Amino acid sequence: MKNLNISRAERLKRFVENNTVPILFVIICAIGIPLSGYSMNYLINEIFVRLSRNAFLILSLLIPIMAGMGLNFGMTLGAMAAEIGLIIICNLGVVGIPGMILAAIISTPISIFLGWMCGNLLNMAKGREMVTSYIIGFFVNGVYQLVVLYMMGSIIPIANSALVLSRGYGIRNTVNLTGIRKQLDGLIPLRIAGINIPIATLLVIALLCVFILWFRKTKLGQDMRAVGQDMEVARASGIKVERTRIISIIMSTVFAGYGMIIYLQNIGTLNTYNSHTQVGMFSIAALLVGGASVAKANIRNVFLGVVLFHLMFVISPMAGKNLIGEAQLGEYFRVFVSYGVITVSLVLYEVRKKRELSYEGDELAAEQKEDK
Amino acid sequence: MNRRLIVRIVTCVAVILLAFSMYFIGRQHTILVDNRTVEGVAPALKSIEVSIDKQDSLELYPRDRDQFVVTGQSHKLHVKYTDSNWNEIDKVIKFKVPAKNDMYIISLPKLAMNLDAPQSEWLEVFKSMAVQADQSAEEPIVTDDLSAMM
Repeated sequence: MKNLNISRAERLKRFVENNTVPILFVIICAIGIPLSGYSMNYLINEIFVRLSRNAFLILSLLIPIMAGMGLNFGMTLGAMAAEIGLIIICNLGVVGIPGMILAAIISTPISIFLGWMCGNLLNMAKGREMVTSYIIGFFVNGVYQLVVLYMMGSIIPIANSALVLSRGYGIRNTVNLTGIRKQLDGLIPLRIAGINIPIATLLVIALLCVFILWFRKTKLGQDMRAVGQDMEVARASGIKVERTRIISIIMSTVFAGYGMIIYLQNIGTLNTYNSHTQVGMFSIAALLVGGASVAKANIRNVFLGVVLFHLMFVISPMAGKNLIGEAQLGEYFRVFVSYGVITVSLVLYEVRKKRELSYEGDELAAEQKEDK
Repeated sequence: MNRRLIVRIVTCVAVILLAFSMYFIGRQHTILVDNRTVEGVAPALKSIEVSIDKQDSLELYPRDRDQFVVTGQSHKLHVKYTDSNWNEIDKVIKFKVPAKNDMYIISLPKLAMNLDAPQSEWLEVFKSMAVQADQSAEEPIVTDDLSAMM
């Protein structure tokens, strides 16, 4: 196939077609940065903050994509499990890194259970995984609210009065995470030219990257890739397709839970009923901005996505204010762009898939012509 | 029992042990240091410098009470004062706080009576008067995403 004569213009066209979203965001950022008036130092600082805050969450999306299950909107399940873990450690009065580890341990069985449930449901809705996982997120959100708003303080004992609503049960709207705030980020502090680099958090993220790279080479990782490419072929070769898919969702949910703990330790406040709702959407948007698609994503997409998407997030309010005197416009812009980018990416994925099929047809025809 | 099951059980036990150890290592307590006269037992000290676990020291005068926030179970209390015989006392005392309670109080006059006394004589659980939160200050919780459609 490589010996086909593709002109440079054609190659450039394909490159642009394959990287439309990242290129669009590079253009937006290139225009927005001078308009925002922010210094480069400030922007780099913000990028590091957002990289350490979001990268783990976004990395948790890679495994289901590998298994051909698309973008796991059900990562909010892991986020909810993590929030329950954090509420419990606040109630127990456990702080610092031990508090974070304990929250992670508490969240793990909840994430595993929710991931297993989600995986089973997604196996019943093959081909419609994304929309199904999105709706499962809403369903589990209802269960989460039942537990947090009605059971905590009444059935589940909560001793810390600062957590409980004045009526005696239910957790308050906002939980202060001062005990774990910036504990991981500040564990190995490094400051270069006024830029704070959270080494410990970046090391944890690097560890997950290494794990994902290693995991791809394992038997289970290879099975997931086989299932992702063709379920029927994988099944014929003896792979337990359903089990493999469930494991991929469980792993994603557990990692999303850990990612949420890292995210919230950076923020320092838990918005009990809302923190998890947008996490899935923004993580998926960032991954897509990095050039990933529903069927293909890698670690490079994660980091490029975080940088471009969050750079747009940082600069857009100020750019909007400086451009037309309305910071609110920038706020609207970033919200509509994040939803828009998901829509555009999903549409582009379908268009690209059809085009690739067409290219493959052309290439096959050309090969047959050469053989003659 | 096959090998896989044993590995799973051992892993679960290890994770549970890790969780317990994290609880004891990361448990936060508030320790009040109190320099008030204990009627008929010990008079307040004229001045005492006190610190716990390398935190900044506090200087307490009669009827003073202050607090240290500590993490974990074992701590070192450093006291520095002049006793009634004008002897300079500078001593580090190790003590442990059980994990189950949030607040403890150290009576410094009781401690100064006998620095070698067991901790139960000068350290006790402090039950704070719970402050009822102002109901009006609470934000309403909106959990119904479809409420806007009603």
